[in-house]
Amino acid sequence: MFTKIMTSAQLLIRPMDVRLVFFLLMLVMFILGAGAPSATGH
Amino acid sequence: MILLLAIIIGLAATLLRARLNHRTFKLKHLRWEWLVFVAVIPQLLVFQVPFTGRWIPEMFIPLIQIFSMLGLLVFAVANGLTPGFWAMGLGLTANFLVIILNGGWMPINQETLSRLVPSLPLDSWVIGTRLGFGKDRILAVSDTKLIWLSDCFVSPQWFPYKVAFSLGDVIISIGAVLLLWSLSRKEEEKK
Repeated sequence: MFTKIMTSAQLLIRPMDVRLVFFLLMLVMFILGAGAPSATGH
Repeated sequence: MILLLAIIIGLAATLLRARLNHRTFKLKHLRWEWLVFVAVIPQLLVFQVPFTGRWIPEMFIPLIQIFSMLGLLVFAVANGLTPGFWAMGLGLTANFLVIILNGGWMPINQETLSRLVPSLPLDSWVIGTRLGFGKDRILAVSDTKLIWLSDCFVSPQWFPYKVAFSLGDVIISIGAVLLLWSLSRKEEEKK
């Protein structure tokens, strides 16, 4: 039962997807830190 | 927000290319990814989280900004051979230079703000004050060093989000799109 659940989980959350999400998160963080646009809120 | 648009455009384009050419994404191995998180988290606390941003004295913000950008510069140089990173590093350097030469703040002048919000009079923007809780400080044109690298561009009138941005921001956006586009390259192109 546990193995079945783990296999299903691995199909849903593949290591490649996790790496891609981490990569995108890193890119968003880089851009937020490196960029300096300003909005006035008006 | 305007920079995140580059990520959305780059991601959509590379997803479409991968789908049309039946390719899978190949992620480049990046060095020192942890440095991005270590460098940017202080900035997030200062500029993105209003609760913590209010409590940090303004005198410390230039220091936080400069050390954070230095960390990102090291990361960009370490990964300079990865497609797109040369552009992101160049844009970052442009922003870093103008920030460091203007006391740790990104300069913005009254004329740019007036173009951004035409409904407000020019003198409603007080020189020497910080613009909201962001990275910008309002400076007179004559007091701004490297003004052409400052936040002197304004989003077009038809664009729903009103924002001022720098040349460095444009180059960083181009770099992000190039990096994302490279994920769906053909295997032999990647070498």
